[in-house]
Amino acid sequence: MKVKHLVVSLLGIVMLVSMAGASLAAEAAYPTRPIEIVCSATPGGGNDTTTRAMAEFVSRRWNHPVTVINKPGGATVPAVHYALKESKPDGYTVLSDSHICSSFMVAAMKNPPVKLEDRIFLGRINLLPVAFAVKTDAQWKTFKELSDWAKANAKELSWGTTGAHGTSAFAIGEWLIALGVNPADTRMVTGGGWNEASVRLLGGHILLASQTVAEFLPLARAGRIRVLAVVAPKRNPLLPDVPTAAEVGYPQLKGVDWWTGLSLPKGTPQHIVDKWVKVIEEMCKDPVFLEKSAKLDYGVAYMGPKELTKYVYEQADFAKQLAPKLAGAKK
Amino acid sequence: MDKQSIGDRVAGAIFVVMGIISLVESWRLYNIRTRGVVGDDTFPFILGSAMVVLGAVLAFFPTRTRQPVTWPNGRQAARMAAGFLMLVLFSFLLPFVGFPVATFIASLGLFVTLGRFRWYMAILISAALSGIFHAIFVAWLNLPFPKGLFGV
Amino acid sequence: MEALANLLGGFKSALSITNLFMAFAGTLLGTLVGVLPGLGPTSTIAMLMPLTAVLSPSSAIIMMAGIYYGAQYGGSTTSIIANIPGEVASVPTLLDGHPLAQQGKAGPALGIAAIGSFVAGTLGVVLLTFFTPFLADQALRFGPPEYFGLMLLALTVMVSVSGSSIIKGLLMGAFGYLIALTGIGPESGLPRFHYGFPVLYGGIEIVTIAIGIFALGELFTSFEQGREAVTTQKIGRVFPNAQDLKQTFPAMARGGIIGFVLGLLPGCNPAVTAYISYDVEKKVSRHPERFGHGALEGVAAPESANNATSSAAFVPLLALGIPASPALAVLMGGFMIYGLQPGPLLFKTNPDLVWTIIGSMYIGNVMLLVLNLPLVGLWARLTAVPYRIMAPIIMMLCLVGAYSLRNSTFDIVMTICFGVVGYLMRKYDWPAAPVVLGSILGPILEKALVNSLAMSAGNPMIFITRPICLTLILAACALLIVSAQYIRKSKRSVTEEY
Repeated sequence: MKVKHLVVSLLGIVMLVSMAGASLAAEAAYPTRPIEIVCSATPGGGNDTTTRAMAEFVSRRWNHPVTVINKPGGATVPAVHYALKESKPDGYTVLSDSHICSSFMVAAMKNPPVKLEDRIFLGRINLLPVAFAVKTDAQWKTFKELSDWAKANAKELSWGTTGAHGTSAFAIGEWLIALGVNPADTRMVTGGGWNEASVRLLGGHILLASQTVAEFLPLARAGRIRVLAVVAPKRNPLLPDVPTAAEVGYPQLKGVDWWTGLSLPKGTPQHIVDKWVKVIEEMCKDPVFLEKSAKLDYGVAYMGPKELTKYVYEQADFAKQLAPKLAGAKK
Repeated sequence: MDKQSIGDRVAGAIFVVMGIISLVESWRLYNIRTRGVVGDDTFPFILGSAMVVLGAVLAFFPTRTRQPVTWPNGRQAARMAAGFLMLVLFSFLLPFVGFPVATFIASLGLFVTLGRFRWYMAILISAALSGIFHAIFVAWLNLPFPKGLFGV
Repeated sequence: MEALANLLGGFKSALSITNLFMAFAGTLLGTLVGVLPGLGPTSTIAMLMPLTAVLSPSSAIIMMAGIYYGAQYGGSTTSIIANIPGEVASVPTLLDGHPLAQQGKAGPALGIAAIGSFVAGTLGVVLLTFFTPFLADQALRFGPPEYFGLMLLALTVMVSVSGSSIIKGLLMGAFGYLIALTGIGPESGLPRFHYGFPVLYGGIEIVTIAIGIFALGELFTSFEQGREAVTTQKIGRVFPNAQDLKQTFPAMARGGIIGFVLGLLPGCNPAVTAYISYDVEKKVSRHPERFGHGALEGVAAPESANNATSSAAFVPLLALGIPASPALAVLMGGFMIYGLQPGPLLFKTNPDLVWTIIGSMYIGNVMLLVLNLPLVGLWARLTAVPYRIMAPIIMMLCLVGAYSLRNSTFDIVMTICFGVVGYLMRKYDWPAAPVVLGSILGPILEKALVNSLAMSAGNPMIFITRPICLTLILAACALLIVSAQYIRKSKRSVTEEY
């Protein structure tokens, strides 16, 4: 009996020591296992293509397998929850973050399943401003004409959005409020992303759409839609003829910045966080990544973790104070 | 009362319950709705009401029997239940032991219970199956299965 | 015509060795992926994205397009042989396809499915070639009210696939729709029926319902009945004969037209058109009672429809840059990686590329026929393999397929639950087809209703003042009356309505 006890205890100690050693070694050697980046979009949609470009860069830089796994649907909740709450904070599961997963989620839901505090922002990678567009043969040729008409005919204005708290709802809502129009008086047509909205816009079933510049690009270049204004400090290189909101008389519009980044769950060891922050900074300077992003029409605008965290909280506050006034707002 | 009509009554009752659940959710959604004539609560309400009504009709007026309903006898039922458990086992084991091992265990169980193979044959076929599945789904198609304890 | 000249040019480059190989690889891969339940072209195309780094644009896109329409061919194989719908669009195929297999006629069924798919797919590409811009613009006239009308029309199908009891059919349809309601609501963007569980924010995947109820349910039932294999009959002819072709050709034509016309509408996916064409076929048939028990037309029609829809889906993609389904969205991603933007401009800036792709689609359809017909014999023989071996393999395939939808074990659990439901449904003679129909059509109907009333600021007159919408609604009412009359007439002896 005694010998047995001794053997078992020895084995136990050996195991503990090797485990400790292994974790120390792991700390030094991160990464040792393949890394997963969790993306909330369906393959090919949303920020999936740019996430894959990110994965490709990190994988190349660290000479280590990095795969993208998609967990689409559910207003990004399944993906965010999986990456930040269900996975261990060991650096092997990273979230491909965006405003939809973070600032806008906490603004749209009273009790978001994942809060901003649950994550460590590693850095911002892409940035795309939103713009406003109408059908080319619509009656308004400029943003001012549209705004004036909207003020007078608010009840006739129909516009598209993914949901009552989607990106478009905020962008258009902010503009309507600036005009002095109550968004609830207008006709908000929900459901579906740009694919559905574009069909409806072209078919004349809705009058106005608000999306990122990249999404408008194909139809704008083909002359089927007219982009009236982009909400950004400067004109966007993809559509250089489109004036900014400030230029056409609405400098107060902040718009919705569509951004992507990477985040890790709270509690991830610092040395792993630092590694990621560094690689993201390098990514935004890498020529291959920049070229890929350009082909996808995604602007790259690096922002470090501290600034990004501040930025996200500000965006969340902006969204939270706007939310109750929106067309689909809760009483 | 023959088995078929008992079945219909029970099913009718189940639908009434489902209908009520739907109506409850519809009520919750109605209260957070602010605008418009229809909202997210509309169809849960329509469906819920339909289920309650139709379910009640079915429960009180079951369809006339057309075929007798039989249940499997002891041994068969045991095998079927075991087979079912194998499937459930697979879904629980998958995150812990990884794809190939979970496939091996589950298919082993299935081949023994539903396939009525002997143990050694079942082990052979299951091993082959796990190997082939791994080759197709993981190595070739790169499906991102969770990697369990064994890192596979 | 200019289009013809361009097409010939497109053929020339599509017939290059590289592009031929790419088309072959794509269609082969697509077929295989279609055979595997749950696994779809969407994830496959996504996984092959890295290849775009080494391939030329036309080669890569030809391959990806091949995967997309190849997958429609593969889905019918498992439907017929094993009652597993490869994807939801294959559900109507199994209603008659599997009974045919059980009668030892898997060969003719598979053959007709392949031929019908070829005929309709090619017809679709022909229309695509000449009429893309025109068709795309016509399709734009369908707004939410028109979709609402169309969905009402499609829902009348529910009555005819209800089997012997309309009440049960309606309850099953409601059940299917209720399942589809879980997840994010169309109006508020907030979750329904989630009860606080994050995983339920994503709702319940429709494919898990189909796989669970049809495949797992069937397997458990077969085990209980002591069935040895899918069929114990001698496998007769492996190919369809001339008479089969003659019998089914009208069905193929009808299915193809319905599939193409409806497929032009973004959002009208192959599943919807397959169901509708199945129902139409049943309604125009002289012997509708054969449907559900092994009518070849019941295989020809939906298969033709879903392939025609795949071809039609390229119309909005090429003409407007709008992908009609997730798989096409990924394909579009493929275009964009090369810096190309599908849309009206692409015809002007890269006409060679576009016409090469279109040319390749013709070739791809031929290839699929050539690929699949010889395999028919092989697949047909599988129906004689004993269930002892097949059942566990099929079950594991179902679970893997379920996981592949969203990389979620929750979907596996759901599939198993629906397997139990399917088993019980068979015991108590509840119709399964309405469940899937309800789960597909319900969400589209709801969204259409919500959006229509949003567009009109709450005024329901919008449905009556728009001509296309009104026509569709009236047609739906007419069809409903026809269906009800038919049921009353032919099944007097069974009480269905109260």
